[in-house]
Amino acid sequence: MAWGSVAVGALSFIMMVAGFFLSWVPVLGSLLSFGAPVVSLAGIVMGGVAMSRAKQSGEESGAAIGGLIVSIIAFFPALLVALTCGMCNACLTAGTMDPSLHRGRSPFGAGGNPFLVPRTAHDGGQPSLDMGTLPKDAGPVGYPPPAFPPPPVPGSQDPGAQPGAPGAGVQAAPDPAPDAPSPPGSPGSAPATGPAPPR
Amino acid sequence: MDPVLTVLHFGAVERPLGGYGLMLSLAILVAGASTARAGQRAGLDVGAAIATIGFTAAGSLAGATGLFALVEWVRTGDPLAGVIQTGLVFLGAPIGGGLALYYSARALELPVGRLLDVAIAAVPLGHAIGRIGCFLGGCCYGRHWEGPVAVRYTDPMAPAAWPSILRHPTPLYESALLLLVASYFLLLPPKRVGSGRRAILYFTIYGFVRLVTEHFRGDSVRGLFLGGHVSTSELLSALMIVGGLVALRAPRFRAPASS
Repeated sequence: MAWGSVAVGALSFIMMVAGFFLSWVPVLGSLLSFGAPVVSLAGIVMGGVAMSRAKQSGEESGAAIGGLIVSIIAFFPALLVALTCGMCNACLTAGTMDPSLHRGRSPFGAGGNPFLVPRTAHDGGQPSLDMGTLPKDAGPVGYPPPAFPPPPVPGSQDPGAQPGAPGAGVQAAPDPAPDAPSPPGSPGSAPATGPAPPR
Repeated sequence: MDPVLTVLHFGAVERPLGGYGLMLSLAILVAGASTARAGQRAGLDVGAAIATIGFTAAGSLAGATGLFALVEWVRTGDPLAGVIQTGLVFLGAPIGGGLALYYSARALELPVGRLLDVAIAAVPLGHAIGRIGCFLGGCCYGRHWEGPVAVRYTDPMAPAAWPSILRHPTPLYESALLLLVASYFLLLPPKRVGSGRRAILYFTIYGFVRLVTEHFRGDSVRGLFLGGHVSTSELLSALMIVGGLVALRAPRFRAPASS
């Protein structure tokens, strides 16, 4: 198990590097980026168990400690890659999916759950982000955060959007607040989906 | 506030280094090292403790990701919504991490209650560092606020920049409270531990911390229940408080175990 942890640590390192450079490939980039920290965690577990067994049996624990160190060193850049390249790839992958798949197929959906209130225009409810009284320079209320990149919607080019700018070529979100300037980086438009922030 | 700290260049390849990812990695490093050190000082098997940390980290990430997927499923009605576009909900981490810790520690013949009690300060410590990452990344952001310490995010990659208004720096509030909680547990004398009482006490305190900070949160992407008055986190925090107070009154946890 001690040498196994060394091998697994090295594998996670390779996956991390591959995920870093292949993050532009849909699905594969996510698998490599998110897989690397998982594999390195397996290496940490194997190294720890090997160290424990070596101590109990009075054997040399050098290989176990080596595997542990390799796995720990691999884990942190792997997690960094997962949270940057992996997230980016996941959003890219999600951007190629049909947005209609995200609506009402579950018994817990907005139509089926009596406790659930549609909260934003994006969810089919009212723009209801509760922030007290908004200043006049506030942007659109209740819109989701930006997508990376925003999924294009055919036939809904925003004349105000600049090519290449965030939000360009994206269907304008419904019911924008009057006189409210768009958030920075997205002139005249709001994206249809957004990244999933940690809470 | 810029969610991207710097851009790394490797030849023709450029990759951003995000503040959130960096701080989360640092949080896991600090929490893991703190737990291993506490286990060593308590005379526990360090190898088994490290293996348990690995299981716990995996369980925490799985729990946080799984709870996010569940919340997104409930929110959108699509079971794949939170899977295709992943995210983390902190309260999933103690659930997944706790289960992983319990079963892995038992499998590795470590005393679960003792390990939890001696290492519980690592949880708020790591969480406090992670919340600084939230602040840098512009997520878990606060409500509209134009008073002292208000912050405005202008980078379009920060969720708090939609809309770009002055807000409470809510992650910093929570981080400061968690550092206070971590200090309290670090300053407790390392004796009379082992029943799990300290761990239960921590989760009860965190329930209060979360209830307070939830009041200042302004995210639009939150699960709302009971007519829109209670968020998912408030519901879970209330359960943690009630469950913790009940458990602390139980005879098993009332009197601290001897060292």
